[in-house]
Amino acid sequence: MNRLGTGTLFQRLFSTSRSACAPKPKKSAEQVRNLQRKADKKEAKIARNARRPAQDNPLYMPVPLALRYLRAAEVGRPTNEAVITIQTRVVSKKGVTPIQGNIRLTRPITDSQILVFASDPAMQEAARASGAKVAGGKDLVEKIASGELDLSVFDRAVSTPEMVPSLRAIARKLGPKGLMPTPKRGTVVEDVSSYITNNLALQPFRQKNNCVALTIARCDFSDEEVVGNVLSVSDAVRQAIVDAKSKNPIIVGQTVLSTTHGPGIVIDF
Amino acid sequence: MTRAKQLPKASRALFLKNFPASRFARQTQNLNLIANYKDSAYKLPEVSKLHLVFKNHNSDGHMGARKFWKWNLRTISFHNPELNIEVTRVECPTKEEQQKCPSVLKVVYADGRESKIECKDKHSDDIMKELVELTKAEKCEESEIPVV
Repeated sequence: MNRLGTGTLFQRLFSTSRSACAPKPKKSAEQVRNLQRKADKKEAKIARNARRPAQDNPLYMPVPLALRYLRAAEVGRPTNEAVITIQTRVVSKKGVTPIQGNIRLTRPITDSQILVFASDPAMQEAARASGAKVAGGKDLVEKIASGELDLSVFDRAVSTPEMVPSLRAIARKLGPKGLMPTPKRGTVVEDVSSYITNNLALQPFRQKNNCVALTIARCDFSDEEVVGNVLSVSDAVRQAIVDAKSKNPIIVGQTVLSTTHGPGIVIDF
Repeated sequence: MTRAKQLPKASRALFLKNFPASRFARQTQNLNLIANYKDSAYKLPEVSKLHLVFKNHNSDGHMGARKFWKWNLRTISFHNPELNIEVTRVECPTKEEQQKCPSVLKVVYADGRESKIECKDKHSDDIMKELVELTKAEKCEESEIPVV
């Protein structure tokens, strides 16, 4: 026993130490168990809610009626500002890898204008069929060299390997626009049409904070186009869950359709 | 203000506009205001286009046009999905431009006729009344207005 009447040297002096420095009281085993039980209960409730049909929600609407509300909320806004977004809750246990995948929207939001260089006419035809705006060989190179073709409308360019030497002549025109195909960027490929369908027409998505959030349409799209895009997102998310091959179950929860300034409306997914 | 501080940032805006505090009640009121803002649920069968022009800022009597866009025009758009509605907000940096800038609602009819409603120094409700009188709009029936 010392002068202050305490047993050890490590006890706090009220006059010299702050209360924040004091060690936290340890939780008893009983308290830890209770907290765990509470967390499990909360998780189970979220999963139970996710399994409920969307129609039970008071804010549920069929997509065409929801779009009527959303378009009204976006009245008078510029078309590039008034975009329709989708938020899907993904319910899974803690520690399960976030899902990710690619979506091919039936009606893309921005039409990417693709320029294709290929000497084989059959290849050109296939590239046009898979979504290329302009496809051509030597004649196309000459057109660009003489300035006949307006390059500003294009945002992507792909080429076959045998066309690369002839592209050097117009590299100074393509380069500043970011349209010069290079093997390093992976835009010089043998099969141009499959490259377009597998890479350029796809939109990647990732789960973030238990949610998959995506821009799927603009307000000036028709109802059928929006529904088509919602369905393609739905397929892609379900496919991503299958591909994840998780041991713990992953459930698709409530899905909300919304716009930049509009309310969020629960829809079927 | 204490309750507003507790709410997440995204839901604060509606709460501060005297909407209910409950999440569902707030959303349903917002949806019902889109479908049925007071005295605005009208159908405009004779009109093909509405074009509202006003200034970016409220001064010089441009507030009525802005409020008309914010509340009344949403409901008009909800009941007339085919109607072409355009809104132009004019940026006016100098004082002279601000005083000169018009605040008008241009109405284009299906047969090509055009008319104008002067919106300067007017309340949004008065603009709505004038539009209804000018275009012979038909009031929507109670059964046509969905209630969430």
